[in-house]
Amino acid sequence: MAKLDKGKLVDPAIEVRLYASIEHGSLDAVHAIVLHRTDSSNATSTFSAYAGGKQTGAHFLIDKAGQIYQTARVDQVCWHVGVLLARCQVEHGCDPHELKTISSLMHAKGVGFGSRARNLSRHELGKAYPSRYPSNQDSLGIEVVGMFQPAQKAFETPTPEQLKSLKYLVDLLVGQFGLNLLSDVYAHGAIARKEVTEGAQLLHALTAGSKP
Amino acid sequence: MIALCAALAACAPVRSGDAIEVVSLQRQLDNARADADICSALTLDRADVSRYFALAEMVDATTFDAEAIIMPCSYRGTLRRAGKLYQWQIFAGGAAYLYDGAATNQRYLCRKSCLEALPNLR
Repeated sequence: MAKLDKGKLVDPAIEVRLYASIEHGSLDAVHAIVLHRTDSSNATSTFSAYAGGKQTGAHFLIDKAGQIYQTARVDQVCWHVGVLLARCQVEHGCDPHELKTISSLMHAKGVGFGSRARNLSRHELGKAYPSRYPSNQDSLGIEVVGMFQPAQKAFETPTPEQLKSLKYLVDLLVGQFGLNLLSDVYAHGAIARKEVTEGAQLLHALTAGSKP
Repeated sequence: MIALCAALAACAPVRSGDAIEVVSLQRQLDNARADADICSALTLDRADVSRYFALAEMVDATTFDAEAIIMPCSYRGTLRRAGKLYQWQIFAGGAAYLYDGAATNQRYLCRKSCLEALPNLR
């Protein structure tokens, strides 16, 4: 069983390699885990970007050999979620008033596509989880190395070693923070304005065979 | 040497000096997204696509991953540059891919001056 030591997970399977550039202040609650793909073919480019001062990033990274790296402390905010989708709209659960608000934000005249999406995301952040999707302020991120292939509209298939390590890490975090694997773990592409397939293979592998 | 030249060509961004022929373009709407209608008014023509690849910034994948907003509507098609065919996809808001299914797999972002030149994309 891993132990937490000042935000670091002490576990023989996890190599701690922290980058100050991706830590952005105290993370007061962990309500969820978000699964990402790096859009790179190896971990080196991600480490180089972090070392070079890149500010966006996630708490963990799993390379193609399945090695788990902790790249930020779990008590620190990482900017890994981006522009949120409106949960009630995606899941068809908005009341009429909220649907009208969302529609007015997204159809605002004279406002660019990106600004409208960001305005809706800010609106979502005014809600409490789980009424909205998880945000940077209440979730941990796991990056799994893999390129996006535009021709296939898909990320490269994760290696068996990556999936084994991902399951190990997610099980550990779910236990550590009292999360529910089936309701508190998300594919990035399902909750934010990213490629819809980002993280989907990972989530499927984690939850296949699990029952609610 | 040939391999190095091929690798360099694969990494070279499309720039205004490059002669680009937009061979095809087609509008795409991702109806799987709940709000696909929000950018249904997006319109791009062949000249816009050429202008895009002249003005947009080619970025590395980590920058694209951090900054790109993938909207549910886009245009995609093929273009010819220096005799070679590429596929492209440009999203509402300004993110794009240029690829050939082999060595070329590039990411672009359309920033301020680019978006000012392509107001339909903004």
